[in-house]
Amino acid sequence: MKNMKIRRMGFGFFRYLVLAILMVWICFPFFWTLLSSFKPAEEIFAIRGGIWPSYFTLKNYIWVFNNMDFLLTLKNSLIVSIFTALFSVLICIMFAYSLNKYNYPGKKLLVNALIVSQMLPGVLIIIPIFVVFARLRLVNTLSGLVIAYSTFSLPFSVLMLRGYLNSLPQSLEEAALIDGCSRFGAFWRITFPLIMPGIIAVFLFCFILAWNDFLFALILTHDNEARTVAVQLYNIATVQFAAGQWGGIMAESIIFTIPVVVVFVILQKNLVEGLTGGAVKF
Amino acid sequence: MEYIQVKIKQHRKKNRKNFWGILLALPGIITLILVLAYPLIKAFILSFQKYDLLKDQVPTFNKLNNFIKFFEDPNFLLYTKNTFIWIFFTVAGLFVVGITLALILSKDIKFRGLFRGLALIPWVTPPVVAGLVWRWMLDGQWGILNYLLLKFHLIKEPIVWLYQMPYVWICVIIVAIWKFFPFWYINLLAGLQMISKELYDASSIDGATSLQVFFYITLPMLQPVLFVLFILQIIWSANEFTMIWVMTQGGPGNITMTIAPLVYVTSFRYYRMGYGAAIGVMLMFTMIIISIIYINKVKQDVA
Repeated sequence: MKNMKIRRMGFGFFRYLVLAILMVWICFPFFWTLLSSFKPAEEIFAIRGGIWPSYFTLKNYIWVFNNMDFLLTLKNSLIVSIFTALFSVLICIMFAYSLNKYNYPGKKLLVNALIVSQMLPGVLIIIPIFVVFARLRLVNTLSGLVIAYSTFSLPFSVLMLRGYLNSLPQSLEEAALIDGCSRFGAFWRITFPLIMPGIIAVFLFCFILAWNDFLFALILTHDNEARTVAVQLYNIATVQFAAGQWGGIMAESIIFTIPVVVVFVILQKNLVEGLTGGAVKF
Repeated sequence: MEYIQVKIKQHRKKNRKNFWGILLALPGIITLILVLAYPLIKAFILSFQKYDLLKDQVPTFNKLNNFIKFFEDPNFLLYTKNTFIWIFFTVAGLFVVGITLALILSKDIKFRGLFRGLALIPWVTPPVVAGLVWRWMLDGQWGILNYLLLKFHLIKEPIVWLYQMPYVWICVIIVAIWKFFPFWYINLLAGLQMISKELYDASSIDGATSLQVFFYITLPMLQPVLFVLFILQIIWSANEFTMIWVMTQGGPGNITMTIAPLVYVTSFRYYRMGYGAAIGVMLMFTMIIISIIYINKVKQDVA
């Protein structure tokens, strides 16, 4: 009995040790980015002097906000992400509602197509999209990016919202219909408010998808007219590797990540439920 | 007569309902066809064509030449091997990290809520930022990792992590695991919470050890979730471009070049659209075949 207890304690200690190692690995990059973004430029490279900066400075952030490229691409990123989210939500509500409420031939096939289409390689699909967009003069335009992102986010969002709709009892809308509501009235007054958390989750999912994307923006844009922050950030760090600007790059990384974090903190519960409940279930 | 009329009316009503249903789905279906289905077919056709944007005005058919060319490429084996290394180690690592963290954070420990929140940090980090930050930390001259390792005398000379075999592979895989594990962990945590407590109670009365509980209760009960996670991750890893590209661009040389970035390089560095599409199509079909084999095998095991 005593032996067992000791073993339990050893196991408990082991558990905390593993957790500690994993947590350091998970959190350190974030901590390091934040710290570096407040470091004076001369200490970014002279790391030999120690990890902690001798004083904190906002110079890196000032550099970022004085950078015209960043401001232009930030504007592009915001426009593209917001319009992608709005456009997707609109199409997605209609699509998910139709899948949930109506029966028509080919519906099952449609759902399967949605599941499978999430697995297509982006690098392959982008080749013909680029060829077609080039012909339609959609390359290097914001609308081109919005069209591409809305479609790419659609399968996941529709399946996610369908999950929400499926969890509501059909009798709710039926009751409203019997009481003399029109079909649209029943949807607008009963279903819509109830699936609001799902709609917000879809909106934010699409926003983040467009905000984070790198591959499509890299290929479909070639200057500040339509370039997004993801590509600009990659460019300053890789292509035009501005010597000594790693502090600025870290500051821009923090600014670029903040919207995602904000969105996430607001909707953590919805997003996690959507991920684990709606979309992954085949 | 009346009966038939009622039937007709019902039928019409049903048809009208169908009509509305299809109408509502139509905008979505049209966008999907235009930006997914059509490009997919077009990519398939392109893979049989020669279409070099720098030389050719229009694509011309060249039979199976694109595919043959890829098989004859001296680096063909390297790319294939790289892709399998990449898929295998990311999936295995994600499984280990995901399940370890889910198991620990499903127990009653102090500050559980805080840890559960912190574990989602990689998920909210945009992929480009994740790649760049890690690249900065792994920098040979100024990276924090070398600094710490030198300070604690774990290494004698700084290591140029991203330019040396085998470190570059290890680093890229660990960073990819860092970025993608939250999805595994969230789903596995949700799966663990579905397992009824009675099962654990019964096994502890029978005197099962923790390892036995894990292998005979936890893992089998998680099988449905794991099945979906494995298949999704195999496909996602195979298609992953951003993490590799931001960290190494497939380099140094071709050491970390997998098929997905190769398709990008072929199509958008050298503008060989047909050849790039052919490589991409092969990647896709390989993944489809692997998925089918895997799904069938799991079905057999269950039955």
